[in-house]
Amino acid sequence: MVTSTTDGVGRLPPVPRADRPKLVGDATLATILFVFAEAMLFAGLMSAFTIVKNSVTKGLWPPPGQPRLPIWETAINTSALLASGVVLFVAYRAFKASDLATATKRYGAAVLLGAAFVLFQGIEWAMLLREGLTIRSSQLGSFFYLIVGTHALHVIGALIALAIGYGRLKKGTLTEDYFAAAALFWYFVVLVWPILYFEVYL
Amino acid sequence: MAALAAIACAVCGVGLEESRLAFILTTAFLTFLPLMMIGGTIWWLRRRALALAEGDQG
Repeated sequence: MVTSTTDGVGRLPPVPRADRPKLVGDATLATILFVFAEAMLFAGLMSAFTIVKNSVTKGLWPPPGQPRLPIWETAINTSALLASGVVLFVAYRAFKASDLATATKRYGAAVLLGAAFVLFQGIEWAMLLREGLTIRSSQLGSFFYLIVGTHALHVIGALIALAIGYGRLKKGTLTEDYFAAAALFWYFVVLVWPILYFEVYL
Repeated sequence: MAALAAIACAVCGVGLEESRLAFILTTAFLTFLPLMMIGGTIWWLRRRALALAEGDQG
């Protein structure tokens, strides 16, 4: 039996470590640390790109003879990715409120929007490659495929984590810690994309 | 042809003012980003700890 009597100076006895509520779940904490490392990776890539872009004589960026990046098509694709982040946030709130039917629908919609983003990115890459923008054709091509490709790999990784979570949600075995961790990683890839878009496309 | 080839060189533009500014800004960005992330996490964890402590007392 646990007693709550104070010691001589009025302090409560320390709570045993096993009984203390966790500040943050294990999966969430691991994802926070992972996101920090990945944020620095993207910061490094963007810094290198910014320096190269600003080191070129005026009027020579984007490089002459290279195809222009599809700004408007990618803007629409960006809105799909942002929408998936919002929908996943709504799903998380429904999950916390134990409204599993709404959470499942919204969660599925978020995964589909994310998958659509990757699909359209793939189509865009195929078009640009056909038009002559390759990883070796110019500095723009090198940075474009490096930065956007790294982001696409992160989106695919996050989608796999979300898809696993969706399976668990349907089976009723999804934990709040896993949901929070997968959602955190998804918010990261969603929020870093507009920054990359403004930096690389515009 | 020769002039274009020289301009295409990434190193030939380092004397530009824009390039110098880009170096300074990205250095500041890469310096302060990790500090902001660590600071933000400590602030968030402290807030959660306080909320948990209040929950225990309430």
